[in-house]
Amino acid sequence: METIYPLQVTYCPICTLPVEYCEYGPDFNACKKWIANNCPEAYPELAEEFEKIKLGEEPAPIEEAKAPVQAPTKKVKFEGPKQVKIALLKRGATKNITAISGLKDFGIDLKAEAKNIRKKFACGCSVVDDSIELQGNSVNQVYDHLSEIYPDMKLVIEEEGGKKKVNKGSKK
Amino acid sequence: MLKKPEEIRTTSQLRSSNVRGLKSAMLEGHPEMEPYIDLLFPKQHSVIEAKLKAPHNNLSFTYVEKTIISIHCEDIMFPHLKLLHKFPFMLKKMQVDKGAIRFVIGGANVMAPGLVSAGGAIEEAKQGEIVAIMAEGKTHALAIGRMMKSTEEIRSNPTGAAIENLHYLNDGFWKMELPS
Ligand SMILES: [Zn+2]
Repeated sequence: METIYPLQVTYCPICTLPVEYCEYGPDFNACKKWIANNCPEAYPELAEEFEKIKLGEEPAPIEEAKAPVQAPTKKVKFEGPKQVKIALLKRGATKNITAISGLKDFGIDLKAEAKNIRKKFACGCSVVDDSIELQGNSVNQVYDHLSEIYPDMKLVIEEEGGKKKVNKGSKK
Repeated sequence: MLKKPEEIRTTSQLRSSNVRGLKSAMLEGHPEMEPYIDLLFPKQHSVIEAKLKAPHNNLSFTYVEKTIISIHCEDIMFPHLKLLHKFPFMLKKMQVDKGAIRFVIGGANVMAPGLVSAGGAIEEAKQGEIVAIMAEGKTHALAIGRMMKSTEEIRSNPTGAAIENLHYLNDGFWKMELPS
């Protein structure tokens, strides 16, 4: 049979990879259900398991050290229920924005607080979704300010993934 | 090269002379692609070039409609993996053994031992050439790379890194969201 181009490749709708690479994707078990129903021939060695999945059984948990890899990332994300995050965001190459999120959980009126900050720091400050954003880098001042007026508040300064400032024109 | 999708700095329509240049660059050394090249650039759609924000300002890519065509990094150009999947003859194929797949999908460079072992297979290529990285037991490419050594050198001294990993499944270019 002659091959016709462009080739049609079946991509998994769960992990977006070609189905044959699902096993190397972020969550093979999530893909298995779809594969079992749509193209079980991609993994002939799993035919038995696919039959079970079709009958409603959950996929068997996958081997090895996957769990410990995921645990720490979870911790970094959302552990403490109530905390205020102060993060430095980048706008363009040279401009910064200080974002304060989580204030809502403490029942603080965001608009009023933004006004306070605007006065105190003499800088542009507005409410964006559920967070307050200040123009410029005021992470440390905001930290001091909040810890002064709300001594019980849990404050976290969020570093941006080890990224350095500005980095103009650096490669890769 | 790009671990996760990054913000696009600017987009602009590519001039028709640049589109012609892009076509000829893609055909260079791969005449088998000739009958299909116009499929990639349908007349009714314009070719858009997108540049990425700093610190990735050395990277850019082109797309037509919702499909990324090529990726550019300084002076090198290579097709997007989805395009290579459609036309696997666009690049020479270098096959790694099963054990290497996990690492290549993680973004690691291809090490020479994974190419010369029983599950690997290589064809003749020069240093600096752009190649498709295939895998033992799989039909489709999992990455695109640039030869750090020639095939001959890899065969005669199969140690260390052999192919620089430029673009792989699930990397930033794979997951890139295009502006509508
Ligand atoms: Zn999948």
